[in-house]
Amino acid sequence: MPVYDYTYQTWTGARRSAWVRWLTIPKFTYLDLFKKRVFISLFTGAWLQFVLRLGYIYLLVNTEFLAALNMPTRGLPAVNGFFFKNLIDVQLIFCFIFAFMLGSDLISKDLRHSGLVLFLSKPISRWEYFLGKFTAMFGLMMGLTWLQAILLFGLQTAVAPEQSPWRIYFWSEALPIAWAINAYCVIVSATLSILILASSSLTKNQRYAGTFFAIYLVGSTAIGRVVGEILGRDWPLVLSPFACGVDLGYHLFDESGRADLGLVQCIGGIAGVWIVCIGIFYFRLRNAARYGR
Amino acid sequence: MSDTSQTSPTIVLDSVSRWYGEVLGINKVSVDIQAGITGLVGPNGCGKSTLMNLVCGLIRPGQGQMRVLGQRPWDNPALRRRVGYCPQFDHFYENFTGYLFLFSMLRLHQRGRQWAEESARHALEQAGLARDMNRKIRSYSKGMRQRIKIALALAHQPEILVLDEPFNGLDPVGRHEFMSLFAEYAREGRTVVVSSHILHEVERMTDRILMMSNGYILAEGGVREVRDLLRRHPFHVLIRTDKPRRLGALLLEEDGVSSVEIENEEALMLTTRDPDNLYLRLNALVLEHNIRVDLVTLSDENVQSIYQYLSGKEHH
Repeated sequence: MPVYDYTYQTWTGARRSAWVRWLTIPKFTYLDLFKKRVFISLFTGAWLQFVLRLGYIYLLVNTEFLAALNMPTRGLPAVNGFFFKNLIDVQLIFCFIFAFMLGSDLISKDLRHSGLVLFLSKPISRWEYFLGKFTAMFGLMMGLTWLQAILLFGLQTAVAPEQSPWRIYFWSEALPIAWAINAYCVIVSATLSILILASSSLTKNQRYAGTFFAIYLVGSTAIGRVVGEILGRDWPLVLSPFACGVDLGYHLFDESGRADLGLVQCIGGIAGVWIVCIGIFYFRLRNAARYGR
Repeated sequence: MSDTSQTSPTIVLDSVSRWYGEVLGINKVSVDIQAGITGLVGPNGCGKSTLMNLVCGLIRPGQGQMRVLGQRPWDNPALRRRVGYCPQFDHFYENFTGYLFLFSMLRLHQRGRQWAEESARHALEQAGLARDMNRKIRSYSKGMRQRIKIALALAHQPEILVLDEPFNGLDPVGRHEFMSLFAEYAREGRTVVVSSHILHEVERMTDRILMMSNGYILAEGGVREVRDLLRRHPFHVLIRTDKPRRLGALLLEEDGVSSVEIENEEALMLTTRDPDNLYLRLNALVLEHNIRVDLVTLSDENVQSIYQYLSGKEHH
């Protein structure tokens, strides 16, 4: 009969908070991503617009430099809400590319190689796994949108002349732009992140996940427009997270006149996308560790 | 010092069933597993991985009750700190080094950076990867990938080790090293559950086995008892091959093979009381006579009859 020593000892030391253990997932997702050349190239390219706009802000307050370049010192577009919304909208193209190329593989890769088992055999729950993956995508998108916009906002505030409208009307006009930047970037980045992760959790094939994501974004907008034309109404556009996001931006940046949808409709459409995506995660991750199924 | 017979089981399954839709995973399995090494033996698809997934809390039992270290394992992150799992399939961050992969996984244990660093290095040394720990996993051989999976299971010093086909792709030296390591773990009073579809492999590590087939526990106990039980019962083995008549004639000359039936031009069914010897001789014959074999499996009806035989139901 075998005899055992029972000499092993279980861990009795301190533990980090359970609230942050899932942060390991985005941390190491970034480490993995930043070892891929395609990611580094794209990420670098995504900062080009920031550099150009940085130069533009610098030029606007350096009239002597503008004169030396023989450029007009008046009539140049001002740095305002539109400047920042336009920056974020262009950056969202990069977010779309990152979502399509990289985000589409975040969960499908784990499903494809039964890799979910590796994570779920560690002391984290399914929802922490999702939270980790979501944070990886959300953090990347916020870096490409919010971080750039808020850095430029800070720079503009720092370099704007004392007598400029930016300084004079800072509390009433400039500061609301910062709030709009925060809200717009958080909502749009989170919605794109959850959409691509839901697509990624639906299939083991990265291409299918990316294609589904792209078709849903474009297709829902097309369907919303066609149905809207037939009914002579704008509300069918709530089907499109793209249209909801763009119109939400108009409302937040005080350009409501350009929006087809009302603020409540935009929020309702985005909330609907969130509910559906969380439902998909619930059903996909509930038994996702089953082998080969 | 403590005797196993005095300890309570660390893993308890009571009439546990798990179905995947209409596909059976395991069916009404009741078993107690205690400290030491327990071998889980059976052909591919017999339910070994399902049983291991249940123990690790990766899937939920459809029916029945189970306890691991006194807790329900399903979706229980706290319990997973005490369980180490080596899955059957490879999945890694290919761009990571072996060390970084292990370190990142250990960070999920909430035990601090220094602990993760030390544990990762120690586990990699134990797994024989000390020299290659700073190489990217992408460049690892099949054996090295297997070693790092085992290192991952061992690294946090779990009380229960669940190892799904841990010897696949390992060379004989590696197998021997890990068998010694698992034996050491068992001596310390930990529970080690090792699956394999090769009885000989498990027999070298432990006397205690669970034999599974088609989701059932066919036999449980010492290897010798199970072998004796099985020897009294004939096995029907289905072999799919390009030369069934030729192979059938050759196998009929072997000890233990009592009958051969040609099913069709691609398969034959034979009866034996010594399947272990049959598998060994079959390998030799196939190589010697250049015969292609696509499938070797116990017939389904036979598995049911063996189950009934072992459970004593055929006498009622």
